[in-house]
Amino acid sequence: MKKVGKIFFLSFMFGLFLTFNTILVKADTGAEENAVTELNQIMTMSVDYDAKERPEETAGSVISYKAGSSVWVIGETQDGWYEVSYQNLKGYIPVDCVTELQVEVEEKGAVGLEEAGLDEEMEALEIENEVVIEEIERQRGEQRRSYIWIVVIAILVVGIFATGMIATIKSGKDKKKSKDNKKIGANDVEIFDLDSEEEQK
Amino acid sequence: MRKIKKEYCYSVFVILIIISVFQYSIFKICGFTMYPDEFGYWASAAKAVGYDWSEVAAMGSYYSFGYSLLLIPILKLFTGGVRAYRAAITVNMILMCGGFLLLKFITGKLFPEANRIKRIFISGIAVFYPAWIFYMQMTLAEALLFFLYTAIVYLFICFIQRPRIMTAVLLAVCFAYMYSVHMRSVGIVIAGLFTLLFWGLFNTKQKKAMLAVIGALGLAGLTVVIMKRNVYTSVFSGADAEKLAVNDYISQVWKIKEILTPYGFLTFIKEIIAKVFYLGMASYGIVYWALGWCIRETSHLIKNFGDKKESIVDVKTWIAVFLSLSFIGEVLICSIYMHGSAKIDCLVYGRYLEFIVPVFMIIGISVMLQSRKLFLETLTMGMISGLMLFPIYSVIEKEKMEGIRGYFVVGISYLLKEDNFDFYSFFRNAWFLGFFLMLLIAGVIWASIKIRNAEWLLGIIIVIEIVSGLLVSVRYTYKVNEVSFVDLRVAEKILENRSAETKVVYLDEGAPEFIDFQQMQLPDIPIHVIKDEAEVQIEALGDYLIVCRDTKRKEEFERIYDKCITTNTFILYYYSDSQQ
Repeated sequence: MKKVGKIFFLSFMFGLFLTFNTILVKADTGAEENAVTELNQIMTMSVDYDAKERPEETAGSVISYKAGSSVWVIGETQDGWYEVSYQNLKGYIPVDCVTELQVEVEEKGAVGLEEAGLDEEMEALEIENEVVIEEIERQRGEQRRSYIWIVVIAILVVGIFATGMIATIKSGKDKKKSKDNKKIGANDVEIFDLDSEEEQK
Repeated sequence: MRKIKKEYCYSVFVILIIISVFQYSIFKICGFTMYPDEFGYWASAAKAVGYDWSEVAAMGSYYSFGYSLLLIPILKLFTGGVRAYRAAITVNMILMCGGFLLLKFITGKLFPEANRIKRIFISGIAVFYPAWIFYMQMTLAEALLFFLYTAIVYLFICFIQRPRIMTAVLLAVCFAYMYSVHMRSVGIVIAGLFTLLFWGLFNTKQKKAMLAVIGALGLAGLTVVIMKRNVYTSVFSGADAEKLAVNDYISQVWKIKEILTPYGFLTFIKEIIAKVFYLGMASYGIVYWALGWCIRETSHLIKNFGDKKESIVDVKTWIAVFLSLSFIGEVLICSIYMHGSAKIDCLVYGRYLEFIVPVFMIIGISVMLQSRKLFLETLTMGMISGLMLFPIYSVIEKEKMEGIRGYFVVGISYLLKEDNFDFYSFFRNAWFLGFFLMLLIAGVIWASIKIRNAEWLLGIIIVIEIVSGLLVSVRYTYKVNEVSFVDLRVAEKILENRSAETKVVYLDEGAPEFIDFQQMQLPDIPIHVIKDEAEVQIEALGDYLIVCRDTKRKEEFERIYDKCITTNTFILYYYSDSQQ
């Protein structure tokens, strides 16, 4: 029975550990899916606007954009805000503040230095943005991983305290039992003495 | 039967926590945290493997080769810089696990009256010393020193309990290896020699064992000296002689001359007090308890010195003598090396002393568990450590010390505000926090004594230590590595289109040696270092030129090269046809 109890306790702890992991990972991705859809697009600002720290008009400003500047859009919320990124800062702008980025050719048939220069700049910007995407993804992955291991450490610490508390409670019960056994044993001795006295008589 | 299983349970929990802390941190780390110290250890290993990092290594000083011996197989097996670095951190984690087991054995041998479960918790508290957690996550010699000192104490106990030739040889090799890992651990070697000498006087029948120790130490010492000369000539030959001497003994002579003057000697005493203050605050006062025990046990030896009877002096006394001498030796060596420095962290400088703390912690906690005046003595220690603030303030004011590098004083850096630093409030706050933690730890230990079978309450101290260790890691280690992750792009770009003739050049404009990180990522491509001169010859520039981000020659290089990449620390210039 005791062995079964121990096996059950260990299995329960292990199951709790797995469940925690699953819940956390699911909660993490679920939360992300509900809140922000991931995007990786370059768009152009159609108006001057200061990106907010939360998707609310009343939130504080974090990044300042001018009309016509490029903006790196990394996500979209369900209530009409884009999540943007600039030099490790993140902010939110309303969807109607931006347009899709398009390369426009001003003269038909012209293949000028300007276009070649723009292509080079676009290529550099693309490479830059790829790197930014990679860095963001790396940071996200690392944050998720850290969170999981913090939970594991917490579970192990709780395990130490739980093992100790259970041991303390059990030893308290064992002590009570042995005290009770001693009392019964003492009575037996008295009876035995009476019997032996009768025998002697 | 049930008690033995509980002991294994707790041991497994402790080891799993060490592994979990490692797993938490490993993907936040990609390279060096401390420049140029870590690179110095890797440079010696690189030479042994066949890489030429000499030009970048010449920018720094000489670093002991002992830790490099561990790094050689890692560099051989792992080609990528990030992978090799993380493999070295894994080795540090394994050493930490080994250190925990050794601490458990030491506790059992010195304090056999403590039950097995108590020993696990005492060892767990010692191994989770915040500085050990901090140094485990970087490739500094400190990570190995923690383990080596613990191993030396364990071997010392085994030798004194049963003097055998094999134990003597192992002990001597450990001493010599420790010296090769870090020259400033010479205090430990001297302490060991003196302790063995006294022990030999008491145990005249153990001549064979004594001769074995002396012989092995002599041989190992000679090997270390020869290897050191080789490393000097092969790895650091291109270095500036002055820079090379910074870490060596020769450059300490002027400090000793100054210390021997009346004013210099007084300042030196205050510097020693500052280090004792640091050790007490960093260890929540536990080191003070251990020092008290060491003094008591050593006085027992002094009282019976005339009799010289083996039976009077037991293993605890000899270990107390060794620990006392190693404490004195290390504090003196550290104080001499840091004497005359302008930085405030050099005054308290925990880094050279941290590795002795775990062993002192197991003794301190064992003594606290037996103390009958726990709170009174804790209060007294707290007050005395507060009085130590006065000599610390006096030295800082008189020597006009400025600035502090928190990563050298991790044990008291929790409340440090580097951008708005005021040394009065910093040390006062460090003392307040240290005093509070001393009382808290005393309270936890008192509760674990009073409540029956409540050794598990000592786990609270472990939690405090893990939180402290991770806090300093977030503040320093992970912050530096966040920058490095972006700097990886430089090496990745070079590796994309490398060939046998690829030439990479770094322009040294006097910036700190952050180029060490790039050399680590390009192990088989030597980076050539050129000095910043009025006219940089185009022929001297390679296919790839790395400069610091704040270089004043941007326009010049933009005219020479077609393309560039800017990262957090560097700019990489290269030709567009390098990509073909």
